[in-house]
Amino acid sequence: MALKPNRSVTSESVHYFTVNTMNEGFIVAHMTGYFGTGAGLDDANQAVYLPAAWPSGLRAIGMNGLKVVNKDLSETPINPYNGEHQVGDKTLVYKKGEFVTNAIKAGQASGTATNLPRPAYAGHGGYLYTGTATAAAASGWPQVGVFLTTVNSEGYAKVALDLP
Amino acid sequence: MLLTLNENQKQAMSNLLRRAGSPDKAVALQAQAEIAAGIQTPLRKAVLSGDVVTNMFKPMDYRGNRYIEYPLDIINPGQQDDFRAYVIPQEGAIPEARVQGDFLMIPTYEIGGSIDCRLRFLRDANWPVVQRMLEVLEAGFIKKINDDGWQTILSAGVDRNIIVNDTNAAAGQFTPRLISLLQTIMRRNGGGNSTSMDRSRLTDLIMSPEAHIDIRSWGLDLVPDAVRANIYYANENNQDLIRIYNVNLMAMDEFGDDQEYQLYYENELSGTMAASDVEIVIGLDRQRDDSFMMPYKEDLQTYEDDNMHRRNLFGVYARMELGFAVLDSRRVLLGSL
Repeated sequence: MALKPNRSVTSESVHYFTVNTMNEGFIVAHMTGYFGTGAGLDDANQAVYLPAAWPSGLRAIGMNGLKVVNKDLSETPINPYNGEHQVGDKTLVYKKGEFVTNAIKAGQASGTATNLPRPAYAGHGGYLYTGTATAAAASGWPQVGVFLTTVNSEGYAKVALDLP
Repeated sequence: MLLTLNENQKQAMSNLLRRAGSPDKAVALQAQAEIAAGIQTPLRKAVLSGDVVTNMFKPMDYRGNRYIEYPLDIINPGQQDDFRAYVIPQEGAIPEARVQGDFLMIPTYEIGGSIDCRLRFLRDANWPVVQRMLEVLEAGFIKKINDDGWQTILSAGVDRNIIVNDTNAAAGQFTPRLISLLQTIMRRNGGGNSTSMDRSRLTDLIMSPEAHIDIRSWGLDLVPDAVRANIYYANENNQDLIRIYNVNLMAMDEFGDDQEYQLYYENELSGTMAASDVEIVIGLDRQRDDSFMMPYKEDLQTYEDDNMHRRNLFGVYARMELGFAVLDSRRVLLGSL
């Protein structure tokens, strides 16, 4: 999963540490039970994670902007070419802007029947869902923005993200 | 300090100087007091953190290098007995004993910081604000480097899983016996025997200021009277206070009961101490530059943010890329008191 180069970034945050591996383009949530304090610039309790199951009411923090890996750094270097970061390090979290991502659940935001712009929800595994009022919203999943396009043959679509 | 005054400030200063020379003593004294207070600006100046780590770690310039690699020995500590000679018969091949090497890499990471202010503040402040802003920005990096370096040392100490204490001492009391116990344990657990080359030796002991000043309270049960007399008359840089049993003693404000690095040891590293002890001390073996490494891939670079001018702001940001490693935890030994 990845982000295409085309993006328009309005707001981003460099304050969040990571607790699990994740790819770019997925929606992340604040780690449960972790509470940053004060400015939280270098606070280990300001941590985001990729929820395998997105519980009802869990709020989204933003879209992960860097690939987070788990390597044995005493033997294997971080890839300097593709912006890899080791789990436990900080990641870039996009909050507002337009991004082209393929972190879209299969079957979502597809087909000519989709009216645009269409609400985009964060769901299981940090994937984006269009869903319906009876599905995504009823599951208590947060709306993170809107789909501006439908998915192409590679599975990418443009999302306008708008998170606080 | 160069004072550059605008017209209003010049007029105010002229009035102040005239009043300082007033024949009315009450008026003159008040004006003179205002002048004296105005010279030492800015007031309530914060004391910034100083560097307490780069004298421990060896800065290594890796600018332009992708990988930071260090080779390891062909045998690990504790494997010495695998290569002991043995009795052999008159005939027969001596078995092979294969060794191989290994390496480790030190990852680096980027740190950054910024500082900015309104242009109007710069214009009207009447003291060198930009210089002070750069000092504060630099101190922020020094503090970050201090913390990361010492947290690495503490983690290495915890990993070694040895903590030394003087069971004869009261809780929180620093004693000469603690130093000698640390020396013995450092030697015993460093490998080798009495004639080995490169044996571990305690060279430095870091503690809180409160523990360090216990030296002045040592009684006849701990040191002879002649030593007590020397300690009594010694200033804080005297050898009697900073070097005992050939070990350098250093006091750091970040250590001590409820202090920053003590809390990091207890809370983040889940470190333990002997029952009723209140703080840790850190013993180091710094005979050789083979453990405490601080590679840097990008030195501290400072930039002015031109984009802030349109917003009526002045801003500076900086970043650098560095790493910390304690490559051999035998060089660190924790104690408690």
